[in-house]
Amino acid sequence: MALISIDNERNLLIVEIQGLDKLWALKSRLEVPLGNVRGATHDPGIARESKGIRVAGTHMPGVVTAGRFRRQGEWLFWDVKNPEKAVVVELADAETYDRLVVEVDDPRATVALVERSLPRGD
Amino acid sequence: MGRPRAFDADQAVAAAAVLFATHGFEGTSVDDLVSATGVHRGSLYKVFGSKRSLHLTALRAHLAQEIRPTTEAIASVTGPEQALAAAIASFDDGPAAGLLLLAATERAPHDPEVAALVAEGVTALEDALRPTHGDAAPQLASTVLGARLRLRARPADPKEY
Repeated sequence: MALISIDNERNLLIVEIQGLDKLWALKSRLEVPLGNVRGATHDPGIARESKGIRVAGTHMPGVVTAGRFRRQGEWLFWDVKNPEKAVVVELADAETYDRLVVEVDDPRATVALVERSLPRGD
Repeated sequence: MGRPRAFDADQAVAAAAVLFATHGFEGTSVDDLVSATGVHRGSLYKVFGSKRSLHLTALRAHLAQEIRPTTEAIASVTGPEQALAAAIASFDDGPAAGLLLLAATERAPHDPEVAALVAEGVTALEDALRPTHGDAAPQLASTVLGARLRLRARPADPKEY
């Protein structure tokens, strides 16, 4: 589980990894400039696709997918136990990760928060 | 932007528009979009950024390729009755028929960008009815929207009106 918030003063999207997931993902926090965030989507189905190669973190299929993964030339950060609550945050090329796939408490609210914080004109 | 696009973005948008027009925004999952467009999930995200962004793109395309040409055709009809009949028969129609209507009811109340695009489509309809109906155009535009809604509610025989 992760907490996604927006820091309006510093124009950042902040992902805080909660509890033991910090251990599984080997990561506790990610910060991305809002200008490099392209969108957010509630996407339970993504967890059924191949995760690619785990580069760092933990992958116990059906239990937890957390950490850094490489798939089809792209870098993905995962922190998902319950796929029903998975949110995909797409990032610009300038970022380390192409895509973040994180489980959040309220996907609908998180997607709305991120989408309305993005600079217009996508 | 990484690997080159191995698919036709316009085709993907058209397929997505049909899904959104049929099942609504919430009712269309990314899985649905992946199967209907035949585009890999990663590429969909890479090109469009999010489901919302794809929906906005589909709505813009519907306005440009369907609503605009239709309203121009309606504006060129000379008889008032004929213009109204043409509007009822053809506004917000085409492959993604109802996309504007559905966006108006489902998304516009929560999404200012959708609301702006819907307003654009409705204004185009009003403008198209103005040559034949003058000041009554806004009211008749509402009649057209209502008629389209009723047509949609009777999918068994959509041509009967």
